[in-house]
Amino acid sequence: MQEQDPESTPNAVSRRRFGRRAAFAAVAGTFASPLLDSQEGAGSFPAGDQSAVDAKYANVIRKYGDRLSPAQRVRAREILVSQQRMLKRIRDFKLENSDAPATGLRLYPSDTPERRD
Amino acid sequence: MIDEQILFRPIRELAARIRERKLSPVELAEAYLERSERVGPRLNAFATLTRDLALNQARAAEREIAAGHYRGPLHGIPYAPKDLVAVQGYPTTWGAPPFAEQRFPYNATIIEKLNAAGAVMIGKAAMIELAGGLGYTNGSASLTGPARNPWQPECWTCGSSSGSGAVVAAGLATFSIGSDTRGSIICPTAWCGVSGLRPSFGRVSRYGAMAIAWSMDKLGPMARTADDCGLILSVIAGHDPRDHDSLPAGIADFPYDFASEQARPLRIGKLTNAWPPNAALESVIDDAVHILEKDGAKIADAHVPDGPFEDAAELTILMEAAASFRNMIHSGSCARLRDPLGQINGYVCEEFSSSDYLDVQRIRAVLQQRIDKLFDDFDVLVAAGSDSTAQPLVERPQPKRRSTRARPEEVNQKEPDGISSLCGLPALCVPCGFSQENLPYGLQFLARATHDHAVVAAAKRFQSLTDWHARHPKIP
Repeated sequence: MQEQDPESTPNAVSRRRFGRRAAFAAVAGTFASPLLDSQEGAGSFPAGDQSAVDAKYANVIRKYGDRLSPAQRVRAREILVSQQRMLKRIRDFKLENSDAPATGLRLYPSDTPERRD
Repeated sequence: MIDEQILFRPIRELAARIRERKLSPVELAEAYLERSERVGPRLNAFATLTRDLALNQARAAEREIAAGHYRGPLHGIPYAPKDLVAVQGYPTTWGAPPFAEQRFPYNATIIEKLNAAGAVMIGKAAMIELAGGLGYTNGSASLTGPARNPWQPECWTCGSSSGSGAVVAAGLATFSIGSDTRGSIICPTAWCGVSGLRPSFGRVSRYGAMAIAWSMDKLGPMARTADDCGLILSVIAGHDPRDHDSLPAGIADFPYDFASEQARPLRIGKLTNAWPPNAALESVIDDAVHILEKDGAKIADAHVPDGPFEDAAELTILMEAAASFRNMIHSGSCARLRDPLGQINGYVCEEFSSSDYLDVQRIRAVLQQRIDKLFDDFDVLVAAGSDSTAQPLVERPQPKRRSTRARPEEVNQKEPDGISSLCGLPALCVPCGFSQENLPYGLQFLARATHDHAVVAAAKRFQSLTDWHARHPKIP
């Protein structure tokens, strides 16, 4: 399947900002988020990222295709393109081997109460 | 008959009257209930009204106070929690059609704490479905319809604590509880012209509250004043072993002393790269900062450091939401959500890999250190609470502007809600002016993680110098 031109898609899904921007768009005629508007890297979306979008899209269709209308399939691909852009910026950030994730195991004390349910 | 103006008074004032038995908790609850039943439906402010519970709690408060057992400043004070916290015996819909009949056989920890303080629950505040956990495209994405802004009903309240904002602004309860994963307390606070506090991550237990993103979700108060927020936080804060991310005992507690004032002048950093350029908004923020400067605060420009704060915040939420809503995604019941984005977003978000998640969390730790360093020079940072005043409700988003390149002046802008939510920082937003359309502007104070007292003190100081927080909309 041929990849859509990311430039031609109303890209960029921001889970929470979207609603706020939507309201704003009614009067401003634009979405104001620089990150969403910028199409940053649109002209240099690497082939590897295109392939990743294709592979993820194929997997979404494999798992959930029977639940998705044609319009929803188009939307799903747009979301994947938007997410890939975010992931690309994350991967462009330089990390060292010693940079540990902001996650961690909390050791439970022995007196932890049981859940109420 | 209680004067309607009483319904807009801050907690401290109501509490004093209740304690001195000059104000009846039962009469106060009845007045709020009457107003909530009359005005609430026009604003889509509530998911559920809890009249019987409210009157029972108010009568109990009145009996106890008459018997000399005064529990503290929330005793007899009416409030409305967001409909994502479990309240035994009542629906907890999460604002979403698939959960319209959901009930829990227990109370969330925050409800237990408010019960223990003697607060009176008027109802459960409406919200955006799943608090926007799987995305949404407009303010109508709610089981109860679009929350309308009390200042201008054609405008939205912002989300996802949409009802929580409307309830306080319209005088339907003295305070509300909201939740904030990324701006869901701060934006409705700004758009509704109230005072709202997003506590440090881990200070308030989320046990019994719907999860979107475990590493980012917070619960916090929305009220009339920063002082109210401090009072409420002092009640709802505290370690809870049932919440995995609860701060340790001793750190989670929030002892609040109204009289305490900072001995030295406040050091305030004014964020220069927050939000896109907006002359009207910047003028209002400049005026607010100038008021603090005239009061003796030391003001300097501050710049959010480089780093993919926004992407890391957004991705963390999307990745964790795919796990927290896994049952709904797998069952297909997400198709019953109101919003077209929410109906499919979960399917897509399952495609993130574990290494994607860990990379984001590794960057998060680096960014936490970067933002923390800013607070070596400042007690608080200030920025607008939102990049605009309340905007009109629309059924569908407008087509996006198809720029092929970034506007140069905007490339380095950061949104304070993404940064502070990603890094677990406290924020307190208060009204700081009004537009020509009589819509409120919000000013938010941000502080180093766990320094919630700093944002309360700074916002309280600002409100001692201004009266924006004393205004309220005229609702027939």
